Amino acid sequence: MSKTIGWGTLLIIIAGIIQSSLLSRISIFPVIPDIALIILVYVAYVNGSMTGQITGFTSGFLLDFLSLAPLGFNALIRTIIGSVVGLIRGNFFLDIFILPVVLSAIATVFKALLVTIIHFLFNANTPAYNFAKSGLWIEVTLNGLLAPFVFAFLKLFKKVLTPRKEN
Amino acid sequence: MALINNGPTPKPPNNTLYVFLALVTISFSCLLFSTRSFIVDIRDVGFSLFSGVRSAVNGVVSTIQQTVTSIEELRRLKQEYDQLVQQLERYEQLERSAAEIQQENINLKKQLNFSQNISYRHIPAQIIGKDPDNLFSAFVIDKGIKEGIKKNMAVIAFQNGIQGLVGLVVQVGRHESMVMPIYDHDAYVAARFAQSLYEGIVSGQGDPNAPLIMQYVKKRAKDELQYGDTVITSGLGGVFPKGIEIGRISKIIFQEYETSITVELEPSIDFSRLEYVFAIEKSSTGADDE
Repeated sequence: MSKTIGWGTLLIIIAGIIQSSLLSRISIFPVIPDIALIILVYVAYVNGSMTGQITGFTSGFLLDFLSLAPLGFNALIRTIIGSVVGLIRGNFFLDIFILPVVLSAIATVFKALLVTIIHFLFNANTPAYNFAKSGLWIEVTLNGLLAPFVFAFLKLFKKVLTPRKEN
Repeated sequence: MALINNGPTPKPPNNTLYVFLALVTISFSCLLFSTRSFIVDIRDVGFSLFSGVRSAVNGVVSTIQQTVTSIEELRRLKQEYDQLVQQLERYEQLERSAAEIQQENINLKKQLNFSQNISYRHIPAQIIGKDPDNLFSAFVIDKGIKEGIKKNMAVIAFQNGIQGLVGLVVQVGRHESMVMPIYDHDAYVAARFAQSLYEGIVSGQGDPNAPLIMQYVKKRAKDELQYGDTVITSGLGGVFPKGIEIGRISKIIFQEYETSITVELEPSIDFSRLEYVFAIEKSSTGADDE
């Protein structure tokens, strides 16, 4: 499990750096897809809650250092997402297109909901998504469209990202 | 996507729940402390750990971009070279008169007492990345502690001959720094109108395309404000040096029942094409320390 968490965290951090330095330059819309979230969704769905939540916590904590986000912001959100996605592990067949799209899109909306709850809990000291504006829905679409490719790429790392018995 | 009927979903073992609660508690506590700005050093250490990695990725991307555009660039340079040779001959003739104009300009500047203007020690920097999260609008510059950047330095840029305010350095790593732009939700700038000198507080809306909002402007300023009037930093609070252009009035919102006027500003800087910035320190001449 620790190997999976380590590799998952490493890939998520690399994705965070790419989002920050590369995707922010070439994005057509002023919205960056959250590839780090898609990787977390994959790791959590394939490995279950325990691996998902610990990977979400460690990677979220490190992502907080890359961002202007207050320390703990991404850690909290991604711990919860990793745990919840891990709960539905094995309930659906992991195909190459539909499940990655649906899981990633729902995870993005769930992230927006958690951000909004934190926004209210912390007396508006953290930002919130505006559900009425296009920014969130563009991010949902981009994450959904990219998910099949990211999932396919992550299958190359099957040896280190999936439980040992499934290898 | 097909549902797999393998019987009821196995319940996660209890320790999963305990670990979940522990992780949520830790991250929630961190968030609680960091929003109250207690954990500053840990953030700086973490930021420094990544300092350099982003520069490296930026370097690789820049190299690829430069390689692709170099052929087109060479062709363009050849054309420019030919034009410049022709221009050079013309400029040689103008050189003598230009020297006279330059001397005249220096004299005029002296007469206008330009020497009293604030002079800033500045550190040029390039924007190498943006916040990986769409919720936050910070961007990263390629200079850090080693190059002399300090926390809370003001950041400006030159566009179309205008020296405009960009934001504030909020986090410093060894070779990278994070800048919060003035359009960020949490950015507040003490400002005044250049013409009428009425003061207010400028804040952002989190969107570079949305206007800046200037609040707490005295009601009696209403008759003296005009669309297009310039708003500059007032220097109050000591965060930003005074006299840096922030934006121009695009809308005046006057409500009888409110105690102050709200003004919308079009930023002087076009953030969508911002590439190079200057982190500035207040002048040691004391002009800004009044």
